[in-house]
Amino acid sequence: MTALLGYVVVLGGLLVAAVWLVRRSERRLGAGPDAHAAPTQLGTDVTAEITAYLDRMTGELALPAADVAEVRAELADHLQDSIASLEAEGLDRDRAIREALGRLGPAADLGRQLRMAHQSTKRLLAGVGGGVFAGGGGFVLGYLGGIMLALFAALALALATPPLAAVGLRLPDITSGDHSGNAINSIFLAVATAIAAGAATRYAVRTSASLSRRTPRSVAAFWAVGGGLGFGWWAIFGMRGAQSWPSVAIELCVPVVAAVAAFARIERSMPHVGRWALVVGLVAVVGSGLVFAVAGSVSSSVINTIGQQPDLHLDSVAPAAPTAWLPEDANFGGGWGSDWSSGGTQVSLELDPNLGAPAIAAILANWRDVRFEAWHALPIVMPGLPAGIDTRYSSPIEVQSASLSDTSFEAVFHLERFRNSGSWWIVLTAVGPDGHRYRLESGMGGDARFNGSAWDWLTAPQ
Amino acid sequence: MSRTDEPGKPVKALAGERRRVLEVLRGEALTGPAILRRMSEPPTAAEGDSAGGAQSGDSEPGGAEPADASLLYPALHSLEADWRLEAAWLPEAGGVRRRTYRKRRLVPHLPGGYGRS
Repeated sequence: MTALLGYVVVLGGLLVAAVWLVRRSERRLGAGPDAHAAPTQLGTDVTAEITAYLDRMTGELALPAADVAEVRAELADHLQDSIASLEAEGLDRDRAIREALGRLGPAADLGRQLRMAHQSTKRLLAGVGGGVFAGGGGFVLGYLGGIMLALFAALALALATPPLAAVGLRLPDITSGDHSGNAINSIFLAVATAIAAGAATRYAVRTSASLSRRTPRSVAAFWAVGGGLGFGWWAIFGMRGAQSWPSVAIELCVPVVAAVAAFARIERSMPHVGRWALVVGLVAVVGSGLVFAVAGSVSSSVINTIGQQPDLHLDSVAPAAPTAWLPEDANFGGGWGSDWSSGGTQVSLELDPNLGAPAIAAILANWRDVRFEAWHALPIVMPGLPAGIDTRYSSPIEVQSASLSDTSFEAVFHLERFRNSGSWWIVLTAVGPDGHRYRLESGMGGDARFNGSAWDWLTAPQ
Repeated sequence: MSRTDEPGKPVKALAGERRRVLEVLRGEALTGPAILRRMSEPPTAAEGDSAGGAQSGDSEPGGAEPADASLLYPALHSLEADWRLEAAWLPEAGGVRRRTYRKRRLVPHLPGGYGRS
């Protein structure tokens, strides 16, 4: 509970700080309302000659809108002051204007020098740091927005399906053959990630432009490359979890989304994020955290056994070992669990611990190539329904050598690395003295979901 | 005639202008034209002694030669970008707001003075 509270406080604080930074940057980029901003109207006695000079100077500035407005207003004020002084010295107005403009030097030169003055190294570094920070905030906001958008889209589809079906239109069923909910979950996460990557890149571009006193378009290329590579790597190689073909397709688009988001209509302001949006966002973060915590506790119990079944079709794997080669007192006891080091499924079959080492050696003398075989199985839905080996398959999903550790055979399976492993059944087999393979133990069953990155999915065996 | 017209001089001239601006802004808040006028004024005896003692090489003590308006604003804005100065649009007696500069302090000014730099 304390950890959750700390997580909310830290994340919420960072989010508020990022939103504050973005809003401050937006004011500079958009010359928004600010009590300390430059006057938006120049003086009434600003002549066409002065306006033309300021226009030429402004053309060289390439600064955010608020800075351009400030520079124009300040120089107009300076020129008016200077002209008044010169007129007081006895010059006529036209000559005073020319003299005042001449003292400021060529408009283009002044504009370039002012641009260089504004775009200092310190501000560039601040822009990079601020861009990264705002990008992080934008990612969180975009992720929350993406989840909400995906939920709305799913709701709309669910509502639209019956009327469409009534008029003969059937939407493609992307969840066909998916008993574990992988497709829906993975699409939700992929959509949220794509939207988050786009939002983060836009936040980074606009904030860094404001802080470094550059136009958004002039820094967009940097963030397009950075965002495309960073978020692309994360989406394709780094983000692990449930996957499906639609989600992998979306994840492959993430680098493109990030790069396009850096340029597309980047001069437009970001949507205003008010405090209520922050509250809703934080509630969504906490809520989704709780949902994932509950879902995690549920998904950890997917491996199970079904007790005795009349026929598990185990003979389709291998015939049972003759008792002559497997004495009755050599009982196996099953066990399994997660292998935390690799994320796989650990299988362990223990021989009767009362047997001494000489007895075990005598048993094993009859057998060679002892191995675990994972086979496709019928889904374990509830006791009493058909279960056991799925006889449509003629070969195992995965085979692992069984290593003898003390009095038990052990192996680690990575069924989560297969796209369609689904329900599985693991059997212990070995080659007997006659050269044929036999089944030493009936084994156990469970369900596996794919767990990996988009790249793992693309390169995974069936 | 602008000093930037002299070939090979702009960078050095801007550095000198920055120094002169900092010398003129001794804890005061001034507008650009006011700074320019202050820089063109002849130095008092005390200012001349202290400025001369602190200068070296090609430095130009405040008021030693006419101030250059073409370098003034690049100097002011670069000092602001380097966080040496802070600027704000403050109202004057007639209600007209003018951009005013002062040296940045470690301890921020009170609210209502310099809200934006």
